[in-house]
Amino acid sequence: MQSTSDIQLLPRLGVGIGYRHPFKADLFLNRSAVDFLEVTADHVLDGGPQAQNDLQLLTDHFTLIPHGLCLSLGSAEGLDENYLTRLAGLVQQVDPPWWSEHIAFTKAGGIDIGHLTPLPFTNEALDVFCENVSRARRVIDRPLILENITYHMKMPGAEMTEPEFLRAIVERTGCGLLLDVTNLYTNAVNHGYDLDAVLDALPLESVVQLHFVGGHWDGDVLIDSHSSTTPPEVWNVLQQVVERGNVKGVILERDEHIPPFAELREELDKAKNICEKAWS
Amino acid sequence: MSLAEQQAALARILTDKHIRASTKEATVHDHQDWSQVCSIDSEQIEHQAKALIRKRLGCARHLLPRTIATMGPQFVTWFTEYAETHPLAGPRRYEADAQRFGDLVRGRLNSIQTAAIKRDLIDIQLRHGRKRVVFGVFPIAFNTSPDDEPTKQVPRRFFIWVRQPFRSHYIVVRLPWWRLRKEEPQHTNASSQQSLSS
Repeated sequence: MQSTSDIQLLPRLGVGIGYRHPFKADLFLNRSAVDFLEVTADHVLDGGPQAQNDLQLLTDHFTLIPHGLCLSLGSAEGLDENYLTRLAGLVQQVDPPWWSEHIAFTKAGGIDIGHLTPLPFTNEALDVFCENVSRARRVIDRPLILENITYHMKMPGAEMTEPEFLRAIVERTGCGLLLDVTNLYTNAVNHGYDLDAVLDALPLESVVQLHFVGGHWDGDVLIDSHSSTTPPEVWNVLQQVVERGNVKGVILERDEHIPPFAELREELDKAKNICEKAWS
Repeated sequence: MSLAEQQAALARILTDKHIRASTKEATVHDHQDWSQVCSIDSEQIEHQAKALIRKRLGCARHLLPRTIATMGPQFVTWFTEYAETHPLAGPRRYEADAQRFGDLVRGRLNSIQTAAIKRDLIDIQLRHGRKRVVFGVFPIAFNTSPDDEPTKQVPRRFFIWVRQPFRSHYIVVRLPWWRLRKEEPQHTNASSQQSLSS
């Protein structure tokens, strides 16, 4: 079983970006700005021959971290064994230092929801999640880190807070955390959490990787759309976590309204400055 | 309500606007088996459902670029209408989603938009799918009956060339020849009635 000491031994990768096809050429033109890449597993698994070719090219030039979306580790019905096998094949092909998935469910009752859906913060959900993580790790023999999600619904029947739920997962599975600081900020804004109190309650010593990006406002609701530059509040959270934790890698996760790469590079350089100060 | 039941109920509510509407109007007492899910704030459920559609819309934008260019803002309206009642399904679900949306709206589009969506859907098949795509159909045999006038001769056999995936590339292959079914002489009602009476 993975343990906290294993997490400390993971290599420090630096600052990178979530790979998206539109800026493939720019990655090679700005090679020095990108320390590593995160590839969305589902883009490769569903992407056909072109995606496989891209993956081979990227594997030859970058350290890659596979990032799963649809393993549905929170599903009470258990895991989709076919998907798990395909994901295991991808992880084996990429040979990464770790891989990541979400603390959520995406499938239930024969329906593929297609989006990360929150779990209730209950002991039953905790048991189900830890059992599924255990099953996944029996098949994929690489360190797994788990990402917090953003949610608009507060699930009823909570027996603990979100930071307590995350801490319990880390303690019971031995997995590290992929802390999405944008999600943390978005939930704090939408649900009125005290962000400093949340940060204090989180197991920051177990954070292996960070995600950051900007979203947009839909009325009075902040949407985690990965569609804009990172706001100052998120930079502030990122800096705090990097200074207080033992972060090994930071990823800019832009999906929509992808700007010229020069703008993305500015954000990468800013993240590098923060990390280098904290790591020196 | 167990976690599995709660998740299944939530999945149905989030992917079908009609179920959301009915649970919003009903009281928790009407849906005792869904009581936990119904106790979630309906506005929060709507926001979560919108996030789900936004995600699908983002994938469709990537897969149907020409369609969006020709449809403009109408694309978002129509896709949202479609997604509210059609959950994702099957393997390569986002490609299948774009394909189903394309098939559904094709009849409502003008000729320029139809041409755009056809090209986008073929692109999906070529780049994202693993389907065979018919590359060409060539006649190789014609009617040979001496009674046939040259102008009435129609092709009877064809070679079909298809582009099909092979490992990480595509190859063009020829399928075994294919023959049209010979037309049977059709009996008219009058002649069949005659034979019955005789």
